[in-house]
Amino acid sequence: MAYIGLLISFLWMAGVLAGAFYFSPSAEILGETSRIIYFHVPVAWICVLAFCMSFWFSISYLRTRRAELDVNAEVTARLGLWFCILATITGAVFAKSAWGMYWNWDPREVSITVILLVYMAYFGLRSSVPDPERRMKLSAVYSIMAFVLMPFLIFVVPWIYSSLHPDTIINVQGENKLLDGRMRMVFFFSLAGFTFVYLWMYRISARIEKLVRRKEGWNV
Amino acid sequence: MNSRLDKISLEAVEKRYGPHLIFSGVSFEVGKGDSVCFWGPNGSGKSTLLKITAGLISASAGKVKYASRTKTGPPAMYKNTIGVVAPDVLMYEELTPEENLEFTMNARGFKRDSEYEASLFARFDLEDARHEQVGNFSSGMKQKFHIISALAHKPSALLFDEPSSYMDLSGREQISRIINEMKSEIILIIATNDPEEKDWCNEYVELCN
Amino acid sequence: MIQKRKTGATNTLNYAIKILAVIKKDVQAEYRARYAVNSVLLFCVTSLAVVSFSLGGTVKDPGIQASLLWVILFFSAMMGLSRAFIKEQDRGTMNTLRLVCEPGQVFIGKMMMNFILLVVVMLIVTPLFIVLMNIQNIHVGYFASVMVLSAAGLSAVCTLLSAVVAQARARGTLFPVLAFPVLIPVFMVAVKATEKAISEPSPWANSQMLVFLGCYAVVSVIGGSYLFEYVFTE
Repeated sequence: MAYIGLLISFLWMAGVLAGAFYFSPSAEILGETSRIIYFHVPVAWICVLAFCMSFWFSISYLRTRRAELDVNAEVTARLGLWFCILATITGAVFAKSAWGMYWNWDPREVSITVILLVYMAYFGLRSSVPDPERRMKLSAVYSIMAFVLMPFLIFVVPWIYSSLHPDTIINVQGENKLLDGRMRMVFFFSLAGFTFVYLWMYRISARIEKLVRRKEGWNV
Repeated sequence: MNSRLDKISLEAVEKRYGPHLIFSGVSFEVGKGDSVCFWGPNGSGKSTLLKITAGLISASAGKVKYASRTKTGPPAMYKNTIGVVAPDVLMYEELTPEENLEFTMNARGFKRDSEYEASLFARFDLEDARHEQVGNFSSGMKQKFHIISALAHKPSALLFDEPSSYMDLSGREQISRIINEMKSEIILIIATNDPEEKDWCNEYVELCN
Repeated sequence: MIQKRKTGATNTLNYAIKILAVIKKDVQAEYRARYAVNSVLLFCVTSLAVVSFSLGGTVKDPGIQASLLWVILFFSAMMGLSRAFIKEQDRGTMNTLRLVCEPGQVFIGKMMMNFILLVVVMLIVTPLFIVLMNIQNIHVGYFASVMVLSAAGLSAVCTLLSAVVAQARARGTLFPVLAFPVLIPVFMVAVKATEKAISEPSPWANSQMLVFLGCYAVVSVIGGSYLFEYVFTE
């Protein structure tokens, strides 16, 4: 079963790659560089998804105090951290070619960087609490507090920095003009594909992590 | 009014630090007039068990229950009816004993009984030090003050972790006299390695590595 | 048997007295030892001196002036506010707090103490800053509201994180690392609003910034007091 799922997602991602480079046309204004949206946006989406999941696992951990929920929270946060770094890099590459600079203080750039900082702080905290029960409790508390205060950031950043992001330029003229039918199809296929891949990575890492803890004598 | 604590019971209490088991399956029940000693070698978890019993740390499994005549609840519900003396339950060194007591009593929401407090200070020969900073005290004097502050709110259970450490002979005598006077009216739990302190108790819970 | 205090007869008043006990104890200890006040004030004054000596009167842009002020205030807050629980943990008095107080009582008391500390710092730093940076048109009412509302949000978040950090190692460096990403919204809005207060004749047109800071403070107080219970009880 697991292999079939793996095969499907492998083929799916191969399809996404082909779609991104052959099937889909390039965008009007942005040209060939626009193809990065099939990778950059899904990666950024995974980053947000992982952030929400680690919030959810943290809440469940504080309620039940079951160690495996802490493992889940840690694993999803670690994947989130990697996807966050990828999103920042792909974003910077695109920014360089589209706007001429790697860093533009665009609202999304700022927001994703703050999420990156939260993840780094989260792991900084985890590594500096030696007592395991305290570590689980404190990192859950931090992750919840960061999540609860995140809407303020999302709300405030556009006030302070004006946006260069494509969709805001595009949305001025109403519906997504830039994405034609084929582009949108590839885009959503890619979004789904990346979500699959992320969930698959999450499941494997959580299983590995739980095996490691069980070997250490934990009851997870 | 504070309902009086009548019974402390532990059911299958277990403590782990991560994967390491400290102890498991500790169950006992103590009522008014009972005195229990936690006895065992170093590292067997006596102090941990005492803190679990006092509600300062939570058990990994099992239950700690406090009961009065009317209701049963977790230690937090009865925190104002217990007095705890332990090496990591310390008073504020920048403050004087007087100010420390003012803080603990007000924070608990209690009125102070100055006569009773004066008698406690007198019994431990600390009257002269009442307005000096605790930080300037000797270890023995600090320990005496910790005992005074554990008794100041007239608790109905005393949980002591090596109460006579740092104390000279006369100090030990003062404690044992006070404990023997109060014993029949309260619940007494002592965690110790000291045979003398063990003798103050009628029953014991033995922990092993 | 000891009588419970019956002074106000109402529970709220009794609770307020219990909270005041925590604040009073902290003020007394602070007055004797001056841990936070001394080091924080010295730090503030030093960083203020560094900033103003290195820039002299060259910085005229209100945006930059506001940012500099907030950088100084932010780091001073990081120095001072983390001590709330670190001190208790190091001196072995954390368990005493657990024995005599309820979690909410400790959180509110410590938060108020941090708020007072922050306001004292602001009262000393900002006038000096205004004089040294030669800031002329300042809208006092708006400026003060920005300071007070930001201080409320800062102290709530820092109180919770101080309790978190107190149970960890390497606290001094960990605290700003944890606090900064969470405090960025306050920081950004406070800088903008301060800029308005020292550049615009009628900054009240930007009252939505004050509403924002107020909302942040409310959410962080509620979230903080709820989460604090988990941090405080072991």
